[in-house]
Amino acid sequence: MKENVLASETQTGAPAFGRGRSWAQVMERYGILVVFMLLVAASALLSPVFLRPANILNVLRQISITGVIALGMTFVILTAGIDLSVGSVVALVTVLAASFQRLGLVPVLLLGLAVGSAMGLINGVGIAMGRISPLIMTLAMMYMGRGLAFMYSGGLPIYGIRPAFIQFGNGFTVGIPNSVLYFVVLLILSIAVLRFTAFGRFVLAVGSNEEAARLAGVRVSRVKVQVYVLSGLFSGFAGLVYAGQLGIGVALAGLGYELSAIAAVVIGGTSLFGGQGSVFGTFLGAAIVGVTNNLLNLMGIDPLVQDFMKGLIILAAVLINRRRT
Amino acid sequence: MALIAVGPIAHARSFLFRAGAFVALALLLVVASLISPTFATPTNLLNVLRQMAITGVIGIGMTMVILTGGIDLSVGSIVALVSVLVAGFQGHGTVVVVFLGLLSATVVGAINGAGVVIGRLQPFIMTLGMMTVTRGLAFMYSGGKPMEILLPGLDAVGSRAILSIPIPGLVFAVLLVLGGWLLTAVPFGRYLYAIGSHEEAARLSGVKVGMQLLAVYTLCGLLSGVAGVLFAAQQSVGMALAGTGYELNAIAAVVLGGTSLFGGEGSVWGTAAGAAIIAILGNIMNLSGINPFTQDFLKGIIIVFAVVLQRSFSR
Amino acid sequence: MRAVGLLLVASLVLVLLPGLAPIQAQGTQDPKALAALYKTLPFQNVYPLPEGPVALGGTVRTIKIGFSQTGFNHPWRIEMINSARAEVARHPNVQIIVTDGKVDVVKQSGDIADLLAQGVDAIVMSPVEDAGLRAAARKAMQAGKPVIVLDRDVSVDKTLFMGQSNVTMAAGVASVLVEQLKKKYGAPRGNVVEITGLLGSTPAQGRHQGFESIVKQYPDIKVLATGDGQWIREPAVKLMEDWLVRFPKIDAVFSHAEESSWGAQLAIERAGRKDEGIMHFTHDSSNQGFCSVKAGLFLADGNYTPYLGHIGVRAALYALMGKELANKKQYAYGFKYDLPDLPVLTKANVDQWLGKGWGDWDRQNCGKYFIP
Repeated sequence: MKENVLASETQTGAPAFGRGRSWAQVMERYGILVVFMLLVAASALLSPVFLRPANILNVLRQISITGVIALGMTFVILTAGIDLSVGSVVALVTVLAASFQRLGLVPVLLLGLAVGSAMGLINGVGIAMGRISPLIMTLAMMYMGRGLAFMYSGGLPIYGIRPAFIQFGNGFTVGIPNSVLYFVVLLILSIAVLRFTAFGRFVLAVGSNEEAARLAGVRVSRVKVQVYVLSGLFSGFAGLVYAGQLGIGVALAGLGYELSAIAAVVIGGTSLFGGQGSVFGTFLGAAIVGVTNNLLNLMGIDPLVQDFMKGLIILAAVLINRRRT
Repeated sequence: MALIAVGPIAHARSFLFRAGAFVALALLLVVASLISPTFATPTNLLNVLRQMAITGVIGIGMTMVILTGGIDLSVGSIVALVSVLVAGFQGHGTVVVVFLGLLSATVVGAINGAGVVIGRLQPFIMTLGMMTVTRGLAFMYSGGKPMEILLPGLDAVGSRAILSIPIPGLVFAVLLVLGGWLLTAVPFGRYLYAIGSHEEAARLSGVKVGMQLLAVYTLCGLLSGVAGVLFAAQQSVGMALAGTGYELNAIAAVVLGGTSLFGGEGSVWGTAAGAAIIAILGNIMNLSGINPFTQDFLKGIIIVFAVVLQRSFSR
Repeated sequence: MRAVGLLLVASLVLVLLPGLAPIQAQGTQDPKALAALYKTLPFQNVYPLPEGPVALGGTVRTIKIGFSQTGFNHPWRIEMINSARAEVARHPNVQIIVTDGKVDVVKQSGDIADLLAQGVDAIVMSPVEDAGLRAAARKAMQAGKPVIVLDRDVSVDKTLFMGQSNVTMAAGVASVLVEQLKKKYGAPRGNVVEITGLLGSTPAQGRHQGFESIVKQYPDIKVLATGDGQWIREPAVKLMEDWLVRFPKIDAVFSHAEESSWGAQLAIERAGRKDEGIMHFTHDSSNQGFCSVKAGLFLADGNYTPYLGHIGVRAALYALMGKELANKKQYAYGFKYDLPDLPVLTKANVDQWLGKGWGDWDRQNCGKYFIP
C-alpha cells in the first residue's frame, strides 16, 4: 500500500531531493536558487554595505518571524490547503505572553505553543471533519483570533515583558540572534520531516491526489488536522519570538503575515494546488522578499516608490523561475 | 489540480450548494430582523445594498476568475489606482475620467492575464505582484496624499437613487444579471466552467484556454475598475490606501456563495448571497450595538456557522 | 469521538486559559475604571456637565449617541473611545454605540448610515479622511442630528469641530530637535532620519509637513532617509536596522510615533550603537512615553492627546439640550472650537504631566532608562 503512495508522489514530482527527479525538476530547483543568487549579486553591486555580516544578520532576523510561519504554511499548502489565521495566532499569543509574564519563561512558552496549536486544531477539525473550505475556515479563525486578542488586551499594548523572555526573543547565542537560530533549526527540522518521515510522505500524497492517498491507506483527515496544528504551533512560536523581540503584546501584531508567508511559499515554488514544493524553496522565497525590502532601504528608495519596485522584483523573480510545463 | 467533480454531477451539487448559501442568507435575514427592529426597515436595507455594491461588483469578476481555478489579489489595488486617476484627471470631465479609470483597470487586468497565460505564473503570485505594483503606482501618482474629487456628475452616481434604489446598488444589480447571463447563456461562460473542471480536457475539446483566461482576468480588472469608479463616486476622494483588504472580502463572498476555489463549480448568484451575508453581518453588528471588541470574534463564529449550515443543506 | 474530545480541549485552552489573564478590555468597560479614567482627563472645564441624568426639555429619556471611530488600528483610537465612554458612564440615561471604521472611508460612511438608521440622537465622529466622509457627515446633518467632529476635520457644515494640529505639533517637536542639534554642535547641523506614520494617512502627512517646515530652514541639517513605520514598532525596527548599516553617522531620529521610536531604540541597542547618543524626538503623549521623556530616551514628545471623546460627547449633549456651545467660532464649515495647544513634552515639563497622558504605565520604573 505504501509503495503506491510513493509511486504517485514521484509521478507528480513532489520531493525535489531524492531519487527519480527529472530534468524539469532540477531546473525548478535551480531556478529559484539562481534567482536568489542573482538578487544577492545585484544587491551587492547596488549597495556597498549589503554583504557586511551585520547586514546579512539583519536580513536573516527580519525574515525569521514570517519565515517560521512560512515553514508551517508550506506543509498546509502542500496538502492543497491554506491558513489565513497565522497573523491572528501571532497577535493572540503576543497578548497572552505579555499578560502571563508573572508565570515565568517556560510556562509562558508552553501556553503560547498550546494556544497556537489549539487554534490550528480547531482549523484542522473544521476542515478535515467539518469539510469546510480551508480558506473560509481559516478566514473565520483569523477574525476569531484577532477578536480574542482585542478582547483580552482591550486594544492597548501590554508592556512589562521580563528580561528572561526578552533574552529568549532578542538575545544572541554565539553572536547569532536567537530568532535566526530558531528559524534555522526549524528549517532543518521541517526539511527532515518532509523528506524522511512517513508524515512528510503522507502530506505530499494527500496534496497530490487525496483520493489515491485515501485508497492507499493514508488517513487523510488525520494528516490534514496535523498540518494545521503544525501551522498553528509554528505561528504560536513566531508570536512568542515577536513578543520577546519587540517587548510588547499587542492585538495589532502580525497584520498581513498570512500574505507574506503565503508569498514566501509560492515564490519558493510550492504549488497552491498541493503536492509539489519544498521547504527549502520556502526559505529562499522568504529570503528573496527579505533581501528586496532590505535593498530598497539600503538604496534609499523613496517609500512612495518602494511598493512598486517590490512588486516588480517579485514578478521578475517568479518569471525567471517559472514552472516549465 | 486536485480532485474535481466533473459534468452534470458537479452542476447538480453546485446548485444545491447555492441553495445552501441562500438558506443561510434567509436565516440570517430572519435572525437579524429579530435582533434589531431597525434592520428590516427600507432605509436600512438600502444602506446594506449600497454597502455591498463595491464588494459585490468585484465579487462578480472574482467568481469568474475562481471558476477557472484562478484567483485575483490585485482587485483592491485597482480600486485605489482608479480612484486616484479619477481624481487626477477630473479636469477632463466625468465621462473622460470614468473611461480612463476603466481603461487603466482593464490594462492591469490584461497584464494579470498575460502573466498567467503567457508567463505561465501561478495566478496567486502574478496577481500578488500586480497588487503591490498597482498600489505602488497609486502611491506614486498621488504622492500618498488623498485627492479630493469635485465632479457633480460623478457625485450624482454615488449619492442619487433611481426609484429610491441607490445607483451603486443598481449598477451592481445590472452587472450581476449580465454576469449570470454570461456564465450560463454564452459559450464564453460555459468554457470557464470547463476550464475549471478540467483544463486539459477543455483544451482537447477545442476551448481556447489561453484566450479565455486572458479575457477573464481582463474582465475581472474591468469590474474592479467599475468598483473603483463607484468608490470615487461615493466617497469623492482618490486615495492610495483605498480598497485595502477588498480582495479578501471578495474572495470570502465568492467562497461563502458556494464557489469552489478549485474551480469548475459556482455562480455569481451565490456570490451575491455571500456578499449580502458579509454586509449584513457588519450591519447587524452596528445596529445591535455589540461591543466592537467582540465583533471580529463573533463574525468568525458566524461565518463558520453559515458554512456549516450551507453544507447541511447541500447534502 | 476523539476528534470531538480534542476539539473540546482546544476550545477550553483558547477560552479558559486566557480568561485567567488580567483582562484590560473589561477594565475599559467597567464603571470603576471609567470613573478613575475620568478623573485624569484633560479639558474637563470645556462644556462642563454635572454627573447624573441628562434632561432634554425637562424630560429624562434614553439618549443614544453614535460614535463613529476611524478604526481600532492604534491604542490612541481606543483611548479616545474610552474617554467618550467615561463621560457616558456619568449619565445613566445616555448610551453610546461605537463603530469600527476599519480605516476605510467606505466602511466608515456605512457605519454612519447604520447609526442614523437605528435612530441615534447625535453623531460623534473621528473621520479616516476629510473628503471621503463629507457625504456621510452631510447626511447626518440633513437628518437633523448634531454632528460633532473630532481630531480631523470634515469640510462640510457641522455642529462643531474640535481638533489639534498635527502640523504645528510636529513643528514644535522639530524645533526642539533643532535646539538639541545646536546644543551638540554649536550650530544647527547634523544627520536626521524620519520614521513616518502609516504612509498616505492624514496625520502622517501633517507630521511630515510640520517636520519639513522647520528642518528646511537649516541647510546643514540633512534628512538622510524617510521610511514608513506604520505607527508601530515592528517596521521601525527593520528600518532602523537597515539605516544603521547604511549610515555611519546618525544624530537624531524624528519619529511620528512613540512605538516606532522604541522600535528604533531596540534596533540601536541590538546593533551595539547605544553609546553614540542618537537622539529621539517623537509624538503620541502616552504615559509610558512620558516616562521615556523623563528617563531621557526621548528628548521631546509631541503632546497629541486622544482624550477628546468626553468633550465630543458633552458637546453633543449640549447641542441636544439646546445649550450654547461657548467659545465656538464660525468658519467656512460650520463651527469649531480651538483646543489650546498642549505643550511639547521635554524633560523640563514632564513631571507635571506624568499620569495625564494616555494608557497604562509602569509606575515603579518610571524615569528609569529602559525600553518598555
